[in-house]
Amino acid sequence: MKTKLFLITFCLLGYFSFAQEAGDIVGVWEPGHGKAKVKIDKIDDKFYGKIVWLKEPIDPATGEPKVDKNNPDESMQNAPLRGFRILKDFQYQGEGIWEEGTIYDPENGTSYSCIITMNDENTLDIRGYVGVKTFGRTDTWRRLTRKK
Amino acid sequence: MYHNLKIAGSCFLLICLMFSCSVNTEKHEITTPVLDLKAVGPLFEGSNTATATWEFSLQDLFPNLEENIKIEKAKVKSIQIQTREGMDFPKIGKMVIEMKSKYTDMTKIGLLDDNIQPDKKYTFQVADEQEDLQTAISDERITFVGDFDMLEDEYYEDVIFDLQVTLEIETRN
Repeated sequence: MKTKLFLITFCLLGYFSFAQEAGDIVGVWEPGHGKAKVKIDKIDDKFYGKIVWLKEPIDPATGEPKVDKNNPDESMQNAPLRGFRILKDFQYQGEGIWEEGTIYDPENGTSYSCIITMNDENTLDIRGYVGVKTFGRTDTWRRLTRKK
Repeated sequence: MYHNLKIAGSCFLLICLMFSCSVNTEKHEITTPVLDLKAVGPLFEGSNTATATWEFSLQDLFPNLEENIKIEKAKVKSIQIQTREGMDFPKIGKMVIEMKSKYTDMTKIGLLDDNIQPDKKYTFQVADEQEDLQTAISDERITFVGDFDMLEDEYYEDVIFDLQVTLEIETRN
């Protein structure tokens, strides 16, 4: 009986210590390549992420701050990459999953469907895909400052 | 002869069908009131975000139209910004403006490729590609989001820009 009670208490503790809420994704995150830092915040009822730091902020070809030169909309190709919103329109689905959003790759100027899964409070799996979730690529992002 | 008559008849029917399916639309130019595009401090060097919300009713926007107004098309024609008069402002670099509503994704509508000086009015370069704006207008509540680069090393409290957006909206009667 005592063992059962201990097991139930242990399981409940484990569940509540990692029970996630929509706002847990808010913070500054570093993608796997380490070339940028992305701040995720909430606007109205959805979540968005923008580049707030670049390892190499200057474009060696121009000597100027990097811009979104691969944007298919030519009128927006001078938008600065620092401050660029690459994660858009994510909605919390529960159980540490944010869906319905897109991720933009400035390297090729393409937006992909995206799903974000929180592995633990300091790591996210960001999966970009085209059409079906099976055909995609996952990158693990790390929270910049650990929660205390 | 009979063949020619058949072709002429088909053409006539096709023209009748085209006219019966066509809808009467009307273009309107609507300018938002001056909106508070506000960034809540403390603001630090680097990228910061300011937001403004425009709530309206289609009936108030188009008082001369009957009820059940349908928005056929919409596009942003111009975006203007000015720092709030008498407010202390940091040095600000380029700004990008996006918009969203309840049922539309966030979409980029303008870029200001210039540093923003106090007490000067700036006009944004409007995006060539604009998606789903008619749905955003139908939602009757739009959030404008401005991402700007703060160039100064010090931190600042709230800053407010005066934002005005002009839209071309096509309604269906």
